[in-house]
Order: sequence, then C-alpha cells, then structure tokens
Amino acid sequence: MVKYVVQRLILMVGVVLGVVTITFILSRVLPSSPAELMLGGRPTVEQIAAAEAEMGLDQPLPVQYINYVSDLSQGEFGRSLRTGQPVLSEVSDRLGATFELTTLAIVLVVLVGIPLGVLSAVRRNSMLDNVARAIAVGGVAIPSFILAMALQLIFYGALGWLPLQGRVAPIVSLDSPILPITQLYLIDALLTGNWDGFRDALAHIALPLLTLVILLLATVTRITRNMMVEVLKEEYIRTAFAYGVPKSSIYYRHALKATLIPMLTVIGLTYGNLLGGAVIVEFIFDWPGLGAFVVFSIIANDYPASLGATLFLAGIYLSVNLIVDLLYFVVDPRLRTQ
Amino acid sequence: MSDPVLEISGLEVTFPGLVRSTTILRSIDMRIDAGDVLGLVGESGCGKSMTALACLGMVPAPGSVSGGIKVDGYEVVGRSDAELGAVRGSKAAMIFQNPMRSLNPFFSVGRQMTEIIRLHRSCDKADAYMIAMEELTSVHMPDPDFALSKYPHQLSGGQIQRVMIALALACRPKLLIADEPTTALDVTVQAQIISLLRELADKTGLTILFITHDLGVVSQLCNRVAVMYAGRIVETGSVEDVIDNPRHPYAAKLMNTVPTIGHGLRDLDSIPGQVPDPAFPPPGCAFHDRCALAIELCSQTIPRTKVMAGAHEVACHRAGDIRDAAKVTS
Repeated sequence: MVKYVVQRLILMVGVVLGVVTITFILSRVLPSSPAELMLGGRPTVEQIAAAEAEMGLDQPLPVQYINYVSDLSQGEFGRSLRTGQPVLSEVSDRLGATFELTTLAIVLVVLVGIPLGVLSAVRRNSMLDNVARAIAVGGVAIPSFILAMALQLIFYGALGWLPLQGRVAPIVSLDSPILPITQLYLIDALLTGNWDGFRDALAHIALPLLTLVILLLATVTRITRNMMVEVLKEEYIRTAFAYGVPKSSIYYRHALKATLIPMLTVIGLTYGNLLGGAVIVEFIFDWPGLGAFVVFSIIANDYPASLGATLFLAGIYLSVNLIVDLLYFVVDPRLRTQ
Repeated sequence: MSDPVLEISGLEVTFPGLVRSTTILRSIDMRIDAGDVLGLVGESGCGKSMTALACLGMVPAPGSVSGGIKVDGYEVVGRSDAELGAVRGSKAAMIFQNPMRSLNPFFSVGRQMTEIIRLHRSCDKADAYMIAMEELTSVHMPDPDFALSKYPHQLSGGQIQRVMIALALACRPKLLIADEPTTALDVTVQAQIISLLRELADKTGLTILFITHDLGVVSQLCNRVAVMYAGRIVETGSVEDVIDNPRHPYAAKLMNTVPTIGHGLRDLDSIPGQVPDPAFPPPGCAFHDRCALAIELCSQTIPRTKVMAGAHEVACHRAGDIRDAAKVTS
C-alpha cells in the first residue's frame, strides 16, 4: 500500500506539472500586455518596456517558463497584477469560501442522494423512483447559470426570504463581525458563539449551495440507484434474505457497502465537477471564492493570479481523488488483504 | 406418525408476462418426514431451485405463488417478509450452488456468521462467536478461529461451503435445503461435502432437501428421490425404487436407460428432443413428444399421479406397462 501511495504521489507531481505548463502557455498566448495592466493609467512605451524587463517578460518564453517553475517550486507564486498583493495570500483568503461552499454541497449531496438512491432501487419503478428519474434528467439538463438566476428570482425577488448575493451582509460584518479562524464562516461563527453572524452566513450560503446541490443530487441519486439495483441481484444478498436478515440491514449495510466503492469514484469526480461548476455559481452569487477570483483574473489577464488559483484548484482536485483512492483500501477487504 | 418437516401441496408458481404468463411450477406435491434426505432431481430449468426458494417464501417478484407449503407446520405461502423471518434460517436453512458468491465479500466470515446466529439464537456476540466455532468444528473446518477472521475471498470454495453448512446448522433448522451445493466444486471437494452431509444426516438426523442433477450423488446421499420434469414432479420414491426400478420414462432415461417392452434395454447417452418452453407447454404429458412409449392419450390428458407400490408414485399413463422392463438392467 505504501508503494501504491508513493506511485500516486509521483503521478500527482506529473499532473501538476502538466497543469502548470498548459496554464502558462495559455496565459502567454493571450493578446494583451500584463505590464500595461500592472502600470495602470496611460504608460509610455518606455515605461512599458522597463516594466516588462523588470517582470522578465522580455525574455524568450522557455526562459520565462523555467523561471516561473523554479519560483513555484520555492512556493513563490508572484504578485497579482491587479492588486499588487502576493497571489498566495489572495488565493488562501478565497480558498476558505470555495472550500466551505463545495464541501458543504458534496456532504449534502451524499447525505441526501445516497439514501434516495437506495430507496429508488428498493422501490424500483415506484412513484418515488419515477419522480427521482424525472428530477435527474432535469438536474442534468438545466444549465447552472439558469438555475442560479431562477433561484435568485424566486427566493430574493419574489419571496424576499434570502439575500441576493455575497457571503455576509455589510451591516453584519460591522455589527457582529465573524472572526476568521478556519476561514469557513459558518464554523467560525459557531466557534465564537456569534449567532447573528451564523444566521447571516447561513442565509447567504443557502442559494449558491442549493444551486450546486440540485445540479449534483440527481447524478448521485441515479448512480447510487443503478449500482444498488446491480448489487441487489448478487447471490450474497439472496443469502442474507434466506437467513432472515432484516431488510434495512440488507439494504443499508450489506448492499450499500458494495456500492460504496463505485460511489467513492463518482463522488471524487463530482467534487472535481463541483470545483469547476462553482466558478459560474460563485460568479453569479458574488461569492468571494476561488472560482470567481479565477474569472476576474482571466478577464483582467492577471496571469500570476489566474495561474496560482488554477494550480490550487488542481491541487484540491488531485488531493480529493487521492483520498478517494486510499479509501478504497478502507472499504474493500479484497484490496487490503492481497 | 409425526408431522412432516416439509409438506408441499398443489404448489404453483407463475410469472406474468407481457403477452402470456409462464407457469414454472405446476401442482407440486411433496412431503419430507423428519430424518429423510430427499433428492430432487431434474434438468436445469425444470424448477428445482424455484421449489427450494418457494419453501423460504423467496420466489422473486413478480412471481405469484399458490398452493400450500408447510415448513415444520408453518404455512409459508402468502406470508410477508417480516413473518417469514420466523422460517428463514430458523425452520429451514439453505446452502447454495456457488459458495464463492454466497457470502458478502465486504464482511469477514466471522462477522457474517455471528450476525445471522444472533438473529436466530438470541445471544450476544461472544456467545454467537462460540456457536460459530462449535459448528465450524462439527463440519470439520480446520482452524475455525482462522476461518472466522478471514474474508470470503481468502477461503476456497470447499471451505466456504463448509462455512455455509456450519452457518445453516448454527440456526438449528428443522430442514436443510441444499441447492446443488457441490456443482461448483472440484470433484474431490464434492465428495468431501457429500460425505459431510451424509455424516450429519446419520449422526444428528438432519432432514435434507437435496437438489441436484447428479444421480450418482443421490444414490450416495439420499434415501428418497423426486424426479422433476418441466415444472412437475413425475416420480417419487425410495432411492432403490426410483434408481433401480424407474417407472416414468423420463426418470428411466435419466438413469441413462430406455425401457422398451419385451426387448430389454439399451444404453443411450441423451434424450432426444428438447425440454418444452414453460411459456408454451405441450398439451397432455409434457414429456410425450420426447417419449418412446407415448400413446395418443399422452398428448391429450395430463397423467395423474398413481401410487405404484408403497411410497413409489409415478405420473405416467404407461407406468403400469413398463413395470418389469427397467429391472432388466439392474
């Protein structure tokens, strides 16, 4: 198993290097002048040339690439061209927001989607199964931005129950500010007993969270259902029935454990989709996360920022999938005992 | 005489279809007394396994069951899954054809055994573990402690079949249903499992419904035989009666011989023709178009079960005519 982990880690480094290379190339072929952006205003040709020399942009591309990679390997992500702040601190400020939103979404999707999938499998072709199927098709077919705006129209526009966008209301951050401990506002507010802050943070996260959950719930439910239908045909399930094992134990213990392995893969990949999907959702809900940050950075051609954020997203995705692969060993004794 | 451990009367199992429904089992009557080892013999698809599943109330949906099945006096037909908890394992325990797939690969053998033992013996984990150890010892499992700590994939097919038998015995059932328990095993392992079942039947008076297509196994293990063809039982009797002196032409052919009146017997390797499609059963006797002895009546009327001598029962219009013919070979 140690050998497997080492193999996977080496592979991960390779993938990260690939991501770095591709994002680097993409950022350099875009027709714009980062130096001009950094200087702001209306710089002269001489000023631009001087800034480019300072930033190393006058060097040939391969040299720029090597410089960039060697900076990265020392943990040096550069400075954002827009804000002048170190990319690392900009990114880690926003990482918490994205992490809070996506992790909460995946937890909800798993907690709701898997039992719903099991129920659909057990009551095949029942009303519940058919409704779940219809929602699944809908959930996959609706683009995230439409769904997000529809929810805004309903819950903010028509009902006025929830805030339109943002992560916390300005008045709350003045009156009872949430002290950053983990950067996850809900947890920070709870830790400090800041109930006003908690309520406000919850109201703000509700709509983006709902959007992501609706988008993903359908997939997870249907996949759980189909895996479960297959597992229930297995002979060891028949054995359990033949010995009078209660149905709930058969479904939620014996059968669910067998569906867990393929489900882990799906959840890992879904988390990846979530990070990508969150870009649009964060943008629409003005959620101060990495996704929105990447969008703004790309639009502004703030290449150190977009490169840094992309690397972080790739890193999270790879880590989640590594964890998923290691969980296989926990779940499947056939892997563990070889 | 004591009540039978298993009493099946007029059992029918039907599966609805889009166009027409398919009847898999037709008016099955069967009785197993305490201490009997009954071999249920027939070709694959004739309904043997369905009969076994029906005894536990486990006919898969959307199959419908009618008739009566009493296991140790308890009527199984028409009961809910919750009610059948009193039968499954406790009154009748089953072992299966494919031991490697009979246990959940994600839980250790010990955990699966103790879970089921606790359901039926109402004891705590430690006691259940002791019971599992005892039963594994009684089925001659070498190193029971070791086996209990393992996952199914770490044991061989023969070992798991021993585990399954131990598991069945641990529930203290009145009836052991063995659905082709040796078919998936190597020949040498097969012989071990058969002699184990024989030993258990002799020592503890275990009542067994043994499903197989292997007549050799039947003669080693069973004292009674029921021969099944196309969803019906065509002949029932003691092993001696049925194997040495079959009265139904199908049973006789199964014994690899063909009876012809007055001309003795000649050996045949196979039975001509095919098993009828259960969705389109032929009129009359289901075997008539493969039967060398068929007369016109055979294609018109379904033969009733007739008692030949003692407990030897045959469902064939011509059973009386082939009375002595089969004896010639034995």
